[in-house]
Amino acid sequence: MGLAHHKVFLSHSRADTGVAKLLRHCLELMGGTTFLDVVDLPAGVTMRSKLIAEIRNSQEMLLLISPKFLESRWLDWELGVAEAISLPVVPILFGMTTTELTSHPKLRDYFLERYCIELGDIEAYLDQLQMRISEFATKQANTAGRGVVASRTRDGEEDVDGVTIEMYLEDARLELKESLERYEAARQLRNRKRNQG
Amino acid sequence: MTNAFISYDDKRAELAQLLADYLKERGQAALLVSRDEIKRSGDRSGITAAMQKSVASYVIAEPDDVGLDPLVVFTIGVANACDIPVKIVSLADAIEWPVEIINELVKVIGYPEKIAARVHSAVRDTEALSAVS
Repeated sequence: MGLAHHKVFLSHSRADTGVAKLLRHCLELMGGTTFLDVVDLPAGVTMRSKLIAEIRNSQEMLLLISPKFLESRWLDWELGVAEAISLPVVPILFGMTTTELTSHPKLRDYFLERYCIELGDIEAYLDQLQMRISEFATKQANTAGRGVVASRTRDGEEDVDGVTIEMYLEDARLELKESLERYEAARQLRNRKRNQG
Repeated sequence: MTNAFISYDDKRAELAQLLADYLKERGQAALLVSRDEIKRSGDRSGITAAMQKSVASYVIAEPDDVGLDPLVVFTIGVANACDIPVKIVSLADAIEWPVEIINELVKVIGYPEKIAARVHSAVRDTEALSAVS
C-alpha cells in the first residue's frame, strides 16, 4: 500500500475554477494530493458528509478568497468544519488585495486577524507548502519504517522522455503565476475604466 | 447533566435565556454564545469550544438570517463536523415551542401579540389534532 501524501482541500467559488485547477496541478506536481469539488466530487453523493470526510482527511485547507467567494455560504460552512477539527486554513487572495478585503461589505470577522497571502506572495506560499509536503512525506516514511523519501517521489510517477517532474512543476508554477498576473492586469484595467467612466 | 449549545444575537438574548431556562428544567445546561460578541471580537473559537462540550445545539435566528449571517452558517458547519444535531429556533417554527415559552415571550420581550395569537392558535390546532389521533 502506498504512503499517504499531504492533502490540501481547495475551497473556492465556481467562478474561480480555472485558477483552482491550476493550483491543483501545481500542488500535485509538488507531491501533494488535493480535493477539488468540481473534479473529485462524484455526482449524486450527499455533499455535506462527503465534504466533511474530505476535510477530515486533509492536512490543510486552502481558501481562494475572491469577491465571488465572499458571496458564498459554503465558505463559512467549510470554515466551520475546519475549525471544528483544528485544520490549518490558508487564505489566498485572488482578485482582491488585503485593503480591498478589509473594506469589502461581505468581509468576515474571521479574516480581520488573519494573515492572508496576496497574489504577489504566491511563490512564497508554494515554497512553504513544499516544505510541509516534504515533512509529511518523511513522517509517513518513518512511520512505515521506510526511511527518508524525497517529497516528489510519487508512486508510479517517473521521468517521461527526459522531462523530469521538477521541469513539469516549474512549468506549472510559471503558468499559474502568469495566469494570476494576467487576471490581475485585466482586473486593474476594468477598475480604471470603471473609475474613469 | 449534559450541555446544550445556544447561539443567539443581542436582540434575541432574552429568548435565548428563556430557552436556556426551559432546557435547564429538563436537565440540560445551556452554553450560551452571543454571535454579536463573536463578531465584535473576531474570534470564533468560542463557538467550537462550546459546541465540542455539547450534545445538542440550538441556533436562535430567523430563517432569512440562516443564509445571510456567516456565523450561523459557520456554526452549522461546526455542528455537522462534530456530529451534533442542530436546530434553528425561529418564529417560523414557533409552532413547535411549548405554550409556556410563547406565553413568556409575550410577557417578557413584548413578542407581537398578533403573531403570538397566531402561534397560540396553531399550537391549539396541533394539540387538538394530536388528541384526535
